[in-house]
This record gives sequence, C-alpha cells and structure tokens, in this order.
Amino acid sequence: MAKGPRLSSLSRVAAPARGMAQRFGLLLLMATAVALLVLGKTHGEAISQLRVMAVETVAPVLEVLSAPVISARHAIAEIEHILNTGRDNRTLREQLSRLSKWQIIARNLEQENAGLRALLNPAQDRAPIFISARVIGDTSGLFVQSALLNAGRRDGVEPGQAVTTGQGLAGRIVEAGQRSARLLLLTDLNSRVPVTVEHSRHRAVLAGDNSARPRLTFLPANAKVNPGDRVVTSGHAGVFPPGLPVGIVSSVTDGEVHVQPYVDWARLEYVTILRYRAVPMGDIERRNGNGSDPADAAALDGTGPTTGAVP
Amino acid sequence: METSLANKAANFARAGVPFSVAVFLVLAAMLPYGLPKSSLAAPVLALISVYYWSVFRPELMPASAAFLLGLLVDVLSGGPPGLNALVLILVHWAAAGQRRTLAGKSFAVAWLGYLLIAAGAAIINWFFASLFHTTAIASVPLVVSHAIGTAAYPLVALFLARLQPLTQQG
Repeated sequence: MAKGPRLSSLSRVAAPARGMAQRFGLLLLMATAVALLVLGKTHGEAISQLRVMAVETVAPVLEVLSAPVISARHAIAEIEHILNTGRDNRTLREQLSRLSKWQIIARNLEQENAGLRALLNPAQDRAPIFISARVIGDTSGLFVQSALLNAGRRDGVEPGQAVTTGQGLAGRIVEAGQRSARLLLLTDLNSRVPVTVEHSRHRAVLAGDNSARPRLTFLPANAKVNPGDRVVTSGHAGVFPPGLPVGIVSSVTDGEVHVQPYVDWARLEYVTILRYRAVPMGDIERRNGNGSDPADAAALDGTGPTTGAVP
Repeated sequence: METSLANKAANFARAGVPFSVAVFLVLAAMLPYGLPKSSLAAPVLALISVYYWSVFRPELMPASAAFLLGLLVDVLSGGPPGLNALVLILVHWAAAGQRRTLAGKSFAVAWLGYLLIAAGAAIINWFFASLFHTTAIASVPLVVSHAIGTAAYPLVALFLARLQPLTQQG
C-alpha cells in the first residue's frame, strides 16, 4: 500500500524491524502449515471435523455458483439430444427388441426366485432409503478424487454410506456436515470396496489408485477372472448393500486386474445416497417368510439392470 | 473526515482485489463442469495468482493471504491439510524475494520465473504428499499439471494485469 510522505520516513526507520517481523510471520505460517500436515496424519479425525466446518461455510457459495453451470450443461445436453435423435432412435429400437427377450427371462426368474425364497425363508437384506443430492463441487485434485454434495446430516447423510448414479456405484460418503457432504470416488487412493466378480462369485476388494481404472485386490490365487466380467458390491462388512453394479473387468495382466467403473465421471451431476444398514443378527431370527418381495432385489440394485451390461 | 473514511474504505477494497479474485478463481475452477480433470485448474490458478501478485504487488498478496488461499484449496479438495498452504507460502517467499529480477523486465523473464518456481512447488508438493500418504505418489499428473500451468500462465497473467489498475490506491 502506498504510504504518505510522512509515513515513508517512518517506514525507513522501521524497515529492519518490519523485515524481521515479516520473516518471523513467514516462519510462523510455514510452521502452522507443517503442523496442520502432521496433525492431519496423527489426528485425522479432528482435522476432518475442522474441514467439514470449513466446507459447510463455503458450500452455499458453491451451490449458488454451480446452479448456472448445471443449467448450461442441461442446455448443451438438450442440444445434443436433438441432434442425435435419429441415431438414438435406431439404437433404442435395437435395444428394445433385444431387451424384451430379457424381460421375459427376468420375469420367469423373478417368479422362480420368489418361490424358492418362500421355501427357504432366507434373511432379507433391508431395503435402503434413497437420498438424492446434487454435485456442487468437483474437487478432485492430484491426490484426492472427491466431490462435494449439497446434502448432509440434516437429510440423513452419514459417513460410510454408498453413493450411486443411474449407472452404478460412484463411491462413498467420507465426511458429512449439516448440509454438505464429501463423496470419495471409487478411483481415490483411499477407496476400498468389497466386491464380487459375477459368474465366478469370487470375492475381492476394489482398491482405487487415483487412476481411472481401480484395481481388484485380495482375489483368491486360483480365481479365474476375464475381461468383460461384471463386478458388483458383495455387501461384506455391511457398509454397502450387496449387488450394486460397480464396473466391468477391463484388463487382466500378470495377476493385475483392473476394473472400468460404470459411472461416467464426466457426467456426475445428481447422485443417490443409500441409507443402508445390514440386518443385525437378532433381526434375522425375528423374520418369518413374509419378506420374499422380489422387488427388493431390484431396489437393492438401485437402478435395475444396466442396459450396457447385457450381452 | 468523511471523504478520508470513504477513501480508506475504497483503498481497503482495492487492496483486497487480488486475494478476492484468487478465491473466486479457485471456487470457479471447482464447479461441476462435467469436464474431466477440470478441477485440477484450482491449485494451478492459486499458484499463478500468488506468483503474479508476489512479483508485481507483493504488498497485496502477503504470506498470510497465500496461506489462506492454500488452506482454501486444501479444505475443498480434501487433500493433505496444509499442503497447498505450505507450497503457496514458499512460492510467495521465492517470488517476492526475486522480484527485482522478475518484475520490470520482459514478460518472458516473469514467465521463466514462473516455470522455475512452479517446478519447485511441484517437487515440494510431491514430496510432502508422498510423505503424508506414506507411498510414492504418481508424479506424472504433477508434471502434466505443471506443464499446463506454465502454458496457461500468459493468459492468466494477462487477466490479472488487467485487474492491476483496480488495485491502484486513491
């Protein structure tokens, strides 16, 4: 700031002192930053609470700023729709004829499943409650893959809940404030999701590595996994409902299995948060045969079968 | 008396332009555009802002402002807390310290200065992030983001230079 002539003579005298104060201030700020880093490592929970509070104050600003961005995206998508109508119509007709065959098969299986369930009286997975939220911040950086959502604890959002889109599992909630929450994407370095490889029914853990295609770890040594296999949540650890579509095995090389998630990250816009609790042991005994609702399985799927996965 | 108070208020607002604009750039970069990796622009814009003002008007981007800006990036990104704060303080310190060499010469000199200081920032970033996650973080994204930042520097610097008249004290 430009000072008046009277001040400049004063500042000449005070310059060395001010220089020292500045240097001290610089060191103090650096020490604070390093202390934050250390605390973030040793007291992650407390730092996370502070971060939630800070995000809470910024979230309304992001929410307001993101509204026109979303509108613009909708307008562009609308134009794309109009331009692609002819082509879409053709592909949808083809899909329809293919899927109507699947519908018959699914109906038969549904009935058969219901009948067998009634015979076996298995423990039912509790149907999750859905919370819809809008993405208000795309906060993926170099080391963290996350997004901010405009729903929080007041809407029933809690850390650990699964987050899906129409396509499949997107990730889980890691931090929740009153009106905002952070979604940790499947691709993040810290993301671990218990999954099952369909067909072979092998269990594994889908581990993010900040790349677009997370890795399957803890696969049994003799597991046979082929590119194109569907990967769904296994429901182990009781955090995620079982059977949520996650992705497709994209490559198998030297025991390294990579999965291409179903979710199109570029189109992450509205998401569904699943409030889900695995059935506690006591509940299983109390249940008696009336829960064989075939819709249950479809509800757990979040979206029903994804068309892209049907051969 | 009244005018001097109004003057003071106006000067205060003017002095806040660099920091406010930097905050706005960071927030704007993190909006959900639906473009892959668009959010990576946030730390880059913060870096360019801190570098530019530290070279040309260091009194308008003090170390505390650089610290707060870095903290904002850290809080929003959910990354290692304090990492960007630390990096931006060091950028401010390096850029303000070398401003006699960097400012007032040709534009290319300031650009080269950015290239070098931002490279140093990337290395520090990588080092502390790896330490924090106790694993060697992939360095390719950092190199790419540094390259993009250097390429984008002239454009952002041009925009910030346009703002400079707004910061003139009355």
